[in-house]
Amino acid sequence: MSSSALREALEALQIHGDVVAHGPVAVLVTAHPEQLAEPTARESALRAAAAHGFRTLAVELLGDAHNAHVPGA
Amino acid sequence: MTADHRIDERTLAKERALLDWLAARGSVLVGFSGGVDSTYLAACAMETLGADRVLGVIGRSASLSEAQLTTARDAAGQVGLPVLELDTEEMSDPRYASNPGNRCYFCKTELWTRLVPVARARGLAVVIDGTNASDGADYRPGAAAAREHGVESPLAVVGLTKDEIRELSRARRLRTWAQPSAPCLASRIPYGTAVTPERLRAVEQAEQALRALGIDGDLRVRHHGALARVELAPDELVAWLHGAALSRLTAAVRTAGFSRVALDARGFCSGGLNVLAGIGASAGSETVG
Repeated sequence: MSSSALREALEALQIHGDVVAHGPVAVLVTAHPEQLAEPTARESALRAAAAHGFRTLAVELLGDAHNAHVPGA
Repeated sequence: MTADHRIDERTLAKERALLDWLAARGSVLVGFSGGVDSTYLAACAMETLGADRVLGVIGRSASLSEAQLTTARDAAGQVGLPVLELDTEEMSDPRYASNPGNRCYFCKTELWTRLVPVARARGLAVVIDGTNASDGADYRPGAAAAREHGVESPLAVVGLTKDEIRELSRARRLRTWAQPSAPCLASRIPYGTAVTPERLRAVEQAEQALRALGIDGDLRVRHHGALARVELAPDELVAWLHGAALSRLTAAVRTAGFSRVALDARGFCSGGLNVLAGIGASAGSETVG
């Protein structure tokens, strides 16, 4: 599982944000969660996460003071 | 029963077989959760045997949410089921608390170890549970504990599936007919992460906070340490994948003590932690016993 490789794969899908690995969960940290509102984009992102060894992809809101986040971890 | 002409004759035949099965036993103790299956089973038992020969037992512990306990009491009330509430101590069993993949086996062992003597003491012929014919494909380590304690599963015996039970429950006007599945709170904690009262309480509070936002239907808050991963039904998910909405959701979950909150893009997945762990018969299974 590589969060950086998944980040690049998501960028290619025009889905932008940092990816943080949390065990088998990939967390996409973004200020624009609506990027995944469209089913097609969501399915593509989930497929990309699976291709990189993650079991699922979750979206965390960027810009929240309480959301401790390590970019690129 | 209140037969509905739209119900398939084969389904009705299964119900008749269930009523016959219950009548042949003469008296039963029902392991009761107030879910779709055990409520339907209790309603059939009450109809066949009457209140003097049926007892429902609710096992109470930290892994049973207050909301589910209330639901169970309400469901028992609706069908007139006499109920005994017993505290169970699975949290004191390190084999359970360490949260192995077969955690449910130890929980159900504790439950049936307590319920079988109650049945004997009250002269009830058999202990039964709500396992149904759809459960065979699921990952259910608790089923072994039921077998070891002689617990019988008449819904499965007569071949009633989950969908059929919902249909028959609706015909009986049971409020549970469309109720979402509600596995215990421990099902939100990944295998290998210890089940503690604090973690269970955090999950329960987070889910209550989301319900308070008006989220109906299937919902799970998965506990990943400081991170809460929220699973919503697909029709709810899209509405929360926007900045302001996700900010509200995040704030609500944080009231339960999580510092990070992430919304699962896959949406609600029954047995989601089984899927993460790579175990279970199917992605649709949930470890519920």
